[in-house]
Amino acid sequence: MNVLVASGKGGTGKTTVACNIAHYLCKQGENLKLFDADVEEPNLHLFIKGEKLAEKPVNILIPQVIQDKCTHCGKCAEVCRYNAIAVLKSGVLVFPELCHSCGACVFICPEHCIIENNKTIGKITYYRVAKGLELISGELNISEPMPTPVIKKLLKHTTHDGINIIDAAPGTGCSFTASVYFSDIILLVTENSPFGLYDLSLAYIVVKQLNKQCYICINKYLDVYDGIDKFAEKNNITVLSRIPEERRFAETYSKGELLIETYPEFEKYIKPIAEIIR
Amino acid sequence: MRQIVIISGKGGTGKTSIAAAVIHTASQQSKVVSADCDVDASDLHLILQPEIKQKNVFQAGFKAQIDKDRCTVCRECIKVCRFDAIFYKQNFCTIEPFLCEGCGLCQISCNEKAITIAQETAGEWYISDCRYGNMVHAMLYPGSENSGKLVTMVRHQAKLISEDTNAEYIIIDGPPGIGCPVIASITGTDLALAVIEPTVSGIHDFERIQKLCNHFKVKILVCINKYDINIDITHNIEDYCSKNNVPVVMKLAFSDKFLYSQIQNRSIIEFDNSYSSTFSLLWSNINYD
Repeated sequence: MNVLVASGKGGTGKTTVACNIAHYLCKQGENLKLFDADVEEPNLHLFIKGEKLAEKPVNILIPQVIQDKCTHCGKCAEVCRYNAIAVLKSGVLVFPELCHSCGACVFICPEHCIIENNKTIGKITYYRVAKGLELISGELNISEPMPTPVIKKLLKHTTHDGINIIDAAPGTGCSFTASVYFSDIILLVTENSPFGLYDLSLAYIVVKQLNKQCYICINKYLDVYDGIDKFAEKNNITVLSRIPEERRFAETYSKGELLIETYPEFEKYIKPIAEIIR
Repeated sequence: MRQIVIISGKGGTGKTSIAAAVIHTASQQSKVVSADCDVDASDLHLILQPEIKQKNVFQAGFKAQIDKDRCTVCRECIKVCRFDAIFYKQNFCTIEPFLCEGCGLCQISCNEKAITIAQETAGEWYISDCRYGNMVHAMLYPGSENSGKLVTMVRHQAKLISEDTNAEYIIIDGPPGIGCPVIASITGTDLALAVIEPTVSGIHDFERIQKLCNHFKVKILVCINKYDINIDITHNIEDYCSKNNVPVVMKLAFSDKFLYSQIQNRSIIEFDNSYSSTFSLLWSNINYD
């Protein structure tokens, strides 16, 4: 079972919630895998410390034209919907940062003069954290534009018989959508603010389109705003937990410590979420 | 005309609240165009409350469709698709639009010509008026691709307006992360203001966004938000910045006033005028650089 901890808005506490749930479930004797799918800015390894077991590159295929066989017919540039190939009189140019590695240029080339080479755009790191708990983290290389190949490769490591907890990227674009697609339960972590509500409502559109089971956790809860509660009620989504806005929580998080370890009473905010997953 | 982008790497560090305050401050002295480039989770409009003057459709990307009457279920398309977007389900080949990247390889490999590729409507962009001047903003339809292209469109429109109206500044609220929309938001700007929080994740993510700015040769200034939640990490950030020649131009204390101002749709300066001098100083620093 894949549980996605997502949000729409950034900085609402996805990572905090994901690692505290994992810690709680691990203590209860559950076997689980924790995935960092926020590959542009992966942070779980800063909070869940483990022994690094392996590191593997994530490669995509980039076409290369064998220039002396090429007749400059232009079919490859014509078929490429990402404008990643330009055919000039002097030769053929490939723009790797625009290429989606679809293979259409290779398929169409009548001279069979396009080959493909691996290009590393990121990596996947495997950590053993504790008995029954593994952390698998995806990371996009700096200056690479496309996170989805890293996310898709990362999520191939989910197990069918165990619990997989996935920390998603913020936003409602392709990174977020890829993670939602491969998940069964979506926990939307939001903050109790108008910004939180607006981005939550966008994220919920994707969750609904993909017909996924969905719950809400409200973080940084101050009883001065009821927008999220009203949204949850209107859309019939259960609010599993309301984590209060407390300066000591922000301070503990800042040090990279787990709230559930520092403050045992924090368990009451995590347990209702963890029990749904179990 | 100068383009200033507010970024963060990590999400939720206070980019949008700070962008709104910078726009407020700048617009007191100069003509400003505001641009919200966080197109898939835009929030700046909640503070700026723009009145939309022009609404435009954003067409980008493609999706494949199969004509079931023509399809002979040979499954060649399933074999060639590298995005695993085509499935054999209940005696048919079906395309999952959330996985399809619209490359068209299935179309050219289909002998029955049963596959068509259609352009997608991926969002909307708007030209608006607000109390601080012109604003360009957008909405990527949730779940759509091409956020980078939409960012480029917003920036292009902001530039046209600034030229038409002789605006001196374009102030851009950027997206979190380091991927496509961030690259599209920072390239060609004059200055990036990075909003960082002093947390283990904040400093980790800042190092990545700083390297990205270096890669694209964009000058970077730093604002440490909630600096007092961890003074040790604040010092580490200051050390790191001084070693790397990055000026720290503002430090803001942890405060729930940002939440209260947001609830009232006001910038932090409109909510509490004591922030006015802090942001005026920041604005002088931005102009000095």
